[in-house]
Amino acid sequence: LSKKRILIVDDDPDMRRGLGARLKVNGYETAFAVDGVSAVTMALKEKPDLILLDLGLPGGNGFAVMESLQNLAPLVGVPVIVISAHEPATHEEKASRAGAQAYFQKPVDIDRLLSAIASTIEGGPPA
Amino acid sequence: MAYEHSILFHEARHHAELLETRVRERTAELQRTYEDLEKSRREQLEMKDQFLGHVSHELRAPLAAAHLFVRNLLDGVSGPLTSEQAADMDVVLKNVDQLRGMIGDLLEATRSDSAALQIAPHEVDVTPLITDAVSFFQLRADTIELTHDVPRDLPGVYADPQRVRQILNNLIDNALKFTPPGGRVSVRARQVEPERAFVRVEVADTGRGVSQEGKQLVFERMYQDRPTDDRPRGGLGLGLFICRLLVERHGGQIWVESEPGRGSTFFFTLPVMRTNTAGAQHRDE
Repeated sequence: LSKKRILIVDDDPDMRRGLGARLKVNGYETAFAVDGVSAVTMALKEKPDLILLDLGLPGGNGFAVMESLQNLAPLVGVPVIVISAHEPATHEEKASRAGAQAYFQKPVDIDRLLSAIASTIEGGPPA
Repeated sequence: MAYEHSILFHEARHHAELLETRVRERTAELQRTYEDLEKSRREQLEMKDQFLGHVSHELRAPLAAAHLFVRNLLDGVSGPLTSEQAADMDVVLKNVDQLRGMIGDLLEATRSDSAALQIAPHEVDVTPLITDAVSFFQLRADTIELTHDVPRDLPGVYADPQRVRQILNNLIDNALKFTPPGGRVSVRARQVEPERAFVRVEVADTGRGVSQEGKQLVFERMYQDRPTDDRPRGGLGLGLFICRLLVERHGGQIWVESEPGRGSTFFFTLPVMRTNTAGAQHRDE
């Protein structure tokens, strides 16, 4: 059984490293992107099972990334979970309308995030 | 004579018209000034909210990385920790969490737009909210005995579960903060009058109590009871203020009873959800 692959999109190198290490230990494969443009190209290249997406990104914010994802046939149906330092009160609904499955405010509750990832990716938690 | 009267009459009318025009012009001018002021007031509030949102975002970003790495270390992502290292990391985590709470409180208590203190109420069972909060805090209660007592037949309330959790966390956290080692904190819930239409939740501690003055002011913004040396390092004084606003938004009440030296009990009420809504709708049709 191949491992599920998660694309982590965040311009903060610490967040990429911390989330990457955590997801690897939890049995996922990881790929990374640092801005809006590379998010889309990496998604096309890596065909992830899920994308963890920051909203405030250089080169096109997370909303622009979600719009691109929805317009690209190879990426239709790839679930997105937003992880952002923005207030849910001002950004969660907009993210949901743009296609995000869930919204986590930074700092994230890692246990809740891991269970949301497991339940979003078909087949539940990795073996 | 008649001719003179006629001139006077015309002059008077001319002055009256002049006066009316002037009044109209000044009124319009005042209206414009008022609208300009109102516009600039709205713009200033908008700028303040934008600024607050920006500050909160920028403070949260580095905190997020710190929080994530501490959790990774504690959960053994980078290998096992000794028990001493784990205990030290717990201290870091507790402080990071406190900082996170303070940023959230600061934003909620100061912003003025529609996003401030929103609630999304629906039928909620408060029992699991209480048991979850108590189990969460039991992990950090150390030598303080933390218990809860909720009857099985407690009715559902019309509330926002996130906000109820926020209120409970705030009250329990406060109670633990002000209770000395070996003390007790208990959380109870009961259905109460008037007309058994409210659920009352209480958080009681055996701490030093709230002063007479404090009982009136403790729910005000930035008030801190007895800011003396024996006060634990204690936040911004916004927690109970936010609790009050949230409880009031739900249509409930919040208050404290206390005897200095013998502890305090904080109470809040939430309205019970109507169970016969479907029937009422039928009657209306």
